[in-house]
Amino acid sequence: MKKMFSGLMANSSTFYLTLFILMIVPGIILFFAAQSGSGNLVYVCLTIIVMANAAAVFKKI
Amino acid sequence: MFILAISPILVILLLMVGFRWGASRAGGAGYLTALLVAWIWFGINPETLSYAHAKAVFLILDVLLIIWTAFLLFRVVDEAGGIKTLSKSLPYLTADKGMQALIIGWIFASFLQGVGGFGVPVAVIAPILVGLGFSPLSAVVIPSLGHSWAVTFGSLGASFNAMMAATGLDWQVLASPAAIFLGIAGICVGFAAAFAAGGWKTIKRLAFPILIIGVVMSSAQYLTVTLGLWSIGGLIGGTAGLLIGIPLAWLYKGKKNSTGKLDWKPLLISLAGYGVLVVLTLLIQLVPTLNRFLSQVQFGFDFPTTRTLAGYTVPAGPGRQITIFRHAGMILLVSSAAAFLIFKRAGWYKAGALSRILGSTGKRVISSSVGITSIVMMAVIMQHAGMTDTLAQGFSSSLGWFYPALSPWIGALGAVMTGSNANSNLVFSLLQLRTAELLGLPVAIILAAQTTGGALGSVVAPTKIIVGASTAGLEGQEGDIMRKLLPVICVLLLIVGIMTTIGVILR
Repeated sequence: MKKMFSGLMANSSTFYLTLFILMIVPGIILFFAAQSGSGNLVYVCLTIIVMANAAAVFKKI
Repeated sequence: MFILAISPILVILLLMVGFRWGASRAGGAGYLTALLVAWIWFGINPETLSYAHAKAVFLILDVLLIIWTAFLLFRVVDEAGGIKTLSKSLPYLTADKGMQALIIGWIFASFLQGVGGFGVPVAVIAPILVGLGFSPLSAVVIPSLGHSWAVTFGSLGASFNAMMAATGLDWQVLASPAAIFLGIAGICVGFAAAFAAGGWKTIKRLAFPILIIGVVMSSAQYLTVTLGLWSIGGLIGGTAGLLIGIPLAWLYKGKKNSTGKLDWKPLLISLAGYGVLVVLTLLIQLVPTLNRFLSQVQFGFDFPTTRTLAGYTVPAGPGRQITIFRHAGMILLVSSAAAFLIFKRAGWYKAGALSRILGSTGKRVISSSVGITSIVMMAVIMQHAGMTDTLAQGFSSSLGWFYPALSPWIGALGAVMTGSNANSNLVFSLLQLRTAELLGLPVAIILAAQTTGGALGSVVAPTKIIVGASTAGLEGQEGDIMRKLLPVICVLLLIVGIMTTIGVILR
């Protein structure tokens, strides 16, 4: 896990691609989560998006 | 509440301009600030947040599809040496320094903006002008000014599409006033480019060709976008400029014409990809049966009414619908494939070209895609929390009838802080729309001022200046470029502000 994470951080393109997917996919799931009233799923997806944005902020070029 | 509502925008501005962060980092910070303020002070609830994020995803995909594929097409042509062929051919036309500045730094820069964008015009043209004997500073300043007017309808209409996506308004409402404002700005930047090349003398000597070329380019762009072909408005404007500029260059070819012989065949092959794009776009827009057939598959959600704990309501309605097979991104993708086959058949590629094209496209667009994603999510959260509305009310009550003169400056501010006209339109279009509605001003004119200001302001965005400086060998002298560009851009923004005020009075 640690190896995978450090590999991800080392390659800028892969890092940003991962962040992009982590923002877009939960964003779509949120629509269905809100429709079905699944509060837990809403919180999980929102947390992933927030974490992805936080990771973008703390990534140094 | 006004200060809180504007805080995400101020955070982005501070981080990008003050601390020189990239758009992806600053966008993330802006998103987190917007979320925090919306949650604590504006009472946004998880359900509203969920719908806001889902709505943002479709706006993001709509905008990114064009950005990704526009850059892909540019790389397909560039990898084959097409851009180099174009760049080499143009200096053959004239030895007159002023005319060279106009043909390469204004017309060719506008054409490159039409097909590529993303800082490409300055990056490609600055080294050519240095090679022709212009000072490095002028070599950056001339194309920076020259391409600015083509930004909104350039990059295959990415910035204009962003404005439509953010406001939900159709091209029929937005295209005409935007094309008029940008057209007038286009003529002005022609004069500005001539001034940067040789001062008032050059302006006086070349006033006639500047006017002719400016009117032709602006009219071509206006006619194209008002026919609904907004994705190729910049491309057609730039092409019309080249068509009229080349014969005019022969009239002003200077005393010593060291032209040699221009080889037309490679020049035409290098333009083939963009030719395919123009033909496909025209076919889809002008053949109703084909248009209807390709419009059958649509992606998008219908969103319910949302209400924050503070009582701010966003009415129910469809989000952005993506018509995948008629989307400008799909047309660009097909054009890229066609161009690739043409160049491959002509033997213009070295081994491994495809992987280099795909690799460099991915590397170039992915970081900015993250930035755009964060900024759009921030803008939609602000809209759903009522923050945009609070800002609009603040502006309308404090500025009143002075607002039209200020609206292009807001667009320019957005472009400076986010590095692009498209991002500025995503962040500020809705704010400008709401403020115009509150003040009873014509929305289309205010949004035309927004995008024209954004296009002009993007020239002085630190990210673009850094690109120009690095290609002209001016690393570390970005401040000098900024000092040269800033007064000209301020004058142009004043002119746009006056045009906006006149437009509002006349309506």
